[in-house]
Amino acid sequence: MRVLVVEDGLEYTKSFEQFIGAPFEFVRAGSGREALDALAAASFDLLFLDMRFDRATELLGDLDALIERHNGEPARARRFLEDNQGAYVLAAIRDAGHGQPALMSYDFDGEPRRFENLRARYGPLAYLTDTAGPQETRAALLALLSRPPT
Amino acid sequence: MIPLLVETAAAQVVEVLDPAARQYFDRAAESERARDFERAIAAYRLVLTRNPDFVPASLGLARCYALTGARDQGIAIYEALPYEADAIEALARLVEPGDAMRALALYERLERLDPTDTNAPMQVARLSVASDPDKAIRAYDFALGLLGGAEPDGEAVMAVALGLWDRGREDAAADVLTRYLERWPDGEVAAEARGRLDRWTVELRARELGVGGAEPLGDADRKALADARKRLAAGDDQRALELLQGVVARAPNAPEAWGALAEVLLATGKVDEAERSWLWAGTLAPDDAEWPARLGLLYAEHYAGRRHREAKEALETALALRPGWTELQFQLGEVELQLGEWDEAATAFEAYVAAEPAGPHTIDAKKRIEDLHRATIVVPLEPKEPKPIEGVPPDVLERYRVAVVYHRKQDWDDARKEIEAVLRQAPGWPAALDLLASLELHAGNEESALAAWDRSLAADPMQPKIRVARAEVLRRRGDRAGAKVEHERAVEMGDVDASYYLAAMAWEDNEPFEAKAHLDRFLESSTPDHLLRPLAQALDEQVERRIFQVKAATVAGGSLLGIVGLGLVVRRFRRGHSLDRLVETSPEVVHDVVRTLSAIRHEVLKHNTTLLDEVPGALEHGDFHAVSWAAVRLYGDEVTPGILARFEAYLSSLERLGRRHGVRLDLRHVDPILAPMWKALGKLQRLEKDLRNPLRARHGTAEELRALSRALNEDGYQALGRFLRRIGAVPVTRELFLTVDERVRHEAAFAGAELPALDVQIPAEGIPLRVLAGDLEDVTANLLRNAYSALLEREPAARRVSVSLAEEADPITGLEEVVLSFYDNAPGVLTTEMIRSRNIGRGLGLALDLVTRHDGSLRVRSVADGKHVEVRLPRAEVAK
Repeated sequence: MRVLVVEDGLEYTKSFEQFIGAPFEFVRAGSGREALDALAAASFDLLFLDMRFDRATELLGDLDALIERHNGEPARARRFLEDNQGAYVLAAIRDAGHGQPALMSYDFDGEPRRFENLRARYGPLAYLTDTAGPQETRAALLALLSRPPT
Repeated sequence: MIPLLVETAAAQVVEVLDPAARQYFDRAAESERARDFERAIAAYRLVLTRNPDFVPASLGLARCYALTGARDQGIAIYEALPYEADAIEALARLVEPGDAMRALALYERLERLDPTDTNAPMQVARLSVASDPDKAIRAYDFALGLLGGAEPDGEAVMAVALGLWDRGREDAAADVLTRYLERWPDGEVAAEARGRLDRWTVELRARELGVGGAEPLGDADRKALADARKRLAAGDDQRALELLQGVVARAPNAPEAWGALAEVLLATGKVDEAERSWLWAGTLAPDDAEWPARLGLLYAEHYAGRRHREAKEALETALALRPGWTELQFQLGEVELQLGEWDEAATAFEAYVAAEPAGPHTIDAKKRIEDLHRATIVVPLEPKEPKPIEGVPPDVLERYRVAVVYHRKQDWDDARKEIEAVLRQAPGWPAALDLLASLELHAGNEESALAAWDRSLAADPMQPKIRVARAEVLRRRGDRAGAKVEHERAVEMGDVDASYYLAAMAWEDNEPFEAKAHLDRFLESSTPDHLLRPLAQALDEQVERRIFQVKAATVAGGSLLGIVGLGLVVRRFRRGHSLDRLVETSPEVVHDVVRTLSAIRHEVLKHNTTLLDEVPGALEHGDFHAVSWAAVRLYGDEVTPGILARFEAYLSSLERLGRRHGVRLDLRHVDPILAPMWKALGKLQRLEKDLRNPLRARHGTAEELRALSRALNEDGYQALGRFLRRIGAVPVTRELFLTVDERVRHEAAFAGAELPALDVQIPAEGIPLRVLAGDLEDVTANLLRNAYSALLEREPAARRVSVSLAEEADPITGLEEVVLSFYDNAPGVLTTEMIRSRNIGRGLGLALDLVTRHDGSLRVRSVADGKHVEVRLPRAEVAK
């Protein structure tokens, strides 16, 4: 099972490789652009996405529109983009026609309406809160794979 | 070289000399070997009479002239042989004592004549080092190359190295000797080279120190320093910093000023700058234990284990200067524990327990000793030019510096030798006397130490730190009255530590109120990171309890006023607050708090402590690679700090935020969410050696990790989430707008004006917004005030104003916003661009600032009959 892990660091990929392993194979993409390239070049069964990207140099999203939305302040717009980059990446992946089930690492427990908005638009989608360890992640990946067709 | 010449010449004789000349030459050579130079000279002259071009005879004659003191005659003969290598070399030797540059030129000529000559480039290196060190280095390397592994002339090597050193090329000098020793560890000058390298190391360190220039503070600066400490204690970092920068500018050689500046810098999170300031304080006052102690703790506490080696060294230095400082003894043990130096750690803890049988760390120290003895063998793991001092010659100052370095290296004998030499030339120099006192103290000679201090204080009475050290020795010797006097003098001179020691003495004397007064002074003047603060706080608790008992006894006598007074006393003594207090008293900090707590969840918990679920299993199943890998993530490496350091940084940033708003936070001990996390991370830190060396992990580590995972990943994470969700969410209701509207209408500016009714189109149940209620009220008031002011220019009957609400979800992020639309049909122009460019009134500007603070936006949408000022704010969600 090939999982595309989209994160701006190496934390998830390394710990998954260390503690999850087979039957999963983890491939990392460091940005939305890399994720799109990887999906275009190879086949993946699942997506794993981080939400916050504060180390990536290239971010997906319309920065100009966001600046307009943030009282003309580029710094705030950029921070918004960083804080929510996972959602932008997911949107771009879906727009590019890739429908693999996705697992996001984000505390949607505190924002259930937001999660429902995203799932309605970009499902199949599940999430894990920040404290989920590798084994919980493994269980969630398996659950996503074995989900009934929707 | 000389015998060889003779042999060579003898071999040539056969070919070029007639039998008689050959006989004379043999006789000359024989006489020369027999050191009968007169006969040799006569015989060589006879050879040259018969065969004037026979070079060996000329060389022999010149040699013998030189050896018999007829130097000029020898030189003349050599100079007549400008193309003879042996003559050039011999001439160079002859002229060098009087004319080194000529000798150099001759060796360079020799190099050109015979490029394979290994001696010439070495001599060029030796002779050019004084005038052209780079050339010397090149020549030296060239000579080594020619030698092809053969050992070079040791004297030349040493000459080159020493010459480079003298020219300030310390690195190159050390490199010459280091390379020599690597290649020829038993070489001709190996011992000398080793000794020289050691000495240079000491001298370099001494030069870095630039010690001996300490000066006491004047009264005005001392007062400024005390003010700065009070400011800092009150949370006014900026003013404290300004005051201290002024003091160090005026008194750059006052170690106290630098030390206090370091405290402020550390309190404001500038760890690097604090380190430099303490280094400089220690440089100015190398005999004061406080500065290395502070540095040691800084290294130990702020670098997540990466600078424990330096911490150990600094703490050992401090202890060498003040052996009775038991707190440091314990801290040293802690550092050694982290370094995996079990024997040393056990020794340190044992020393602590012996000195403090009932001290604040005694229980912990005993437990550590027990653990260490139970454990199997586990092995985890600005400089400134010195200032000349009046009356102290430069060479004496230099020796003093060397003594300091020996002292730091704990080479007591050499340190004593140097300092005694210094005192022979500068017998009343306080700095040297203080160092001598320290050496005496280390040797157990307390009487001698006290005597040295007496001499030092007689020469310079304004040495508060020395008085504190002297007082502590007196106290240990049972002279409590003498100790008290010295401490009191130190307090008068502005020393903070002395207040604590006086408090401790008063407590021992069963004088809780006196102890309390000293403690109050200490706690008021010391910074949160002061070394003695934990001890002072612990003592303060004890003292408070005793005072409470005393007061309670009074109250039991029947005074209600007494109870009230007691309550006030207790409340006054309480220090430090939780984050709740800050948010309550300064709601404007909410967003900064939210951001920092979110970062803790993300940077400390999310990416790291979640591993704690996996590590116990890996440990139990022998997957040590996985454990070690996790250890790097948790504890950091040379590049990345560990999670404790990150957590500390976040706590410090929150505490700074508190200070800026006049709230002293004690997040590590008082806060119901962060204090347990701090404690858990502290426990996790203590497991570092087990995880870094899982083969030697102690039994029970896995269980401890599981417990810590629960504390951090479940309890801590959820508590943070609850707190984050609780703060800053307010339901927006119809009543809120009507209330604010009522208030605005009654403002003086609208007295008698006919204002339209506000049409509020808000659902009765309201919608939660992530905004502070007060801020939303202010935004609303300012927008309504703006609208009403503009509407005054319109016919009363035509005036319209409304506020409506809509919800929108961002299609990409799923985030929901609430759009509050304030409509009016007033004449005049207001555009989004005017708002962005701040071409607006003060009220609208304030509204913009408040909206921005809450991650919202403000824009204007024009419609045919007026305009909508739209405020977008994030919708708050109700957690599952």
